Amino acid sequence: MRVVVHHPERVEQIESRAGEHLEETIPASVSAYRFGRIEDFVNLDGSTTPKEEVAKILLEQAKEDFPGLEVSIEYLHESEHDAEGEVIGHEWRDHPPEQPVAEGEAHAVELSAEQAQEASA
Amino acid sequence: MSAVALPGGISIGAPRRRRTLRELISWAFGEATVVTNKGKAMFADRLRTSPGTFTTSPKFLAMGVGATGAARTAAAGDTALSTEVETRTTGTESTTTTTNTNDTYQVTGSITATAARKVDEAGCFDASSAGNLAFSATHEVDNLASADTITYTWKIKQA
Repeated sequence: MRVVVHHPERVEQIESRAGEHLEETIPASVSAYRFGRIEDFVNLDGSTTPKEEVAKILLEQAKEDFPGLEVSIEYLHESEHDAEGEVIGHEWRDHPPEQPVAEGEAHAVELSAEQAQEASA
Repeated sequence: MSAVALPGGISIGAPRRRRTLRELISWAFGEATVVTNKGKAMFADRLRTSPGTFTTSPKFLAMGVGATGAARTAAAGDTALSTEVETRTTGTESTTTTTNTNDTYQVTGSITATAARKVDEAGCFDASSAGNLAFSATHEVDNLASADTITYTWKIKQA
């Protein structure tokens, strides 16, 4: 989960400069926006603010900081891997992924087939 | 192209990655469980006092994730899974009763996912690697998280 500031004018530059240092193409005010991947936030009193709430707060903050720009929340779906299995990128979408099953959960599949027998004399 | 991440993690512009046709289309495939041609030969051979070719039972269970992408439905001519993942497990064999007493060969075993897996195919082989595919199945996608375990129960009934 992350907050994204969409800056259409900069997209072309970013795409045309793929592989270069992208910081040069981003206005300082935008590059100062460092929310990154949002996780649950542990407060000073030890309580926890869920990441969904943190995202809402950051979203509102971003709307104030970047008036006129589209601001949205995106959700991490799948990581992309190269042929060697190394992570090379992430797939972010504007809706949550399906609720994954809990780790270590047991699944069961039953498969049945018939082996037909024919006899001849 | 993936979203662009800046130092500190925030993404600006977030250009949409161009997706291939295969990614956009959910390829349909059929669900089926079959005794393969090798499996049929296995039944015949293993009835003999001393099997000539298939000297090990098809108790090694495999699972895979490639049937949907390959638009493959299990068929008698199958010799391998489309994309086999994880290490095969040695199943526990028995005979059970479906219609007539002990008319069903059953083998069951569990495989643990070492990563998130969209399992959609399975098979029984007569070896822990390579070997002959005796039974082949393509089934509804079962989404496994890492460390999830899937238990397969295969039942092959003599009709």
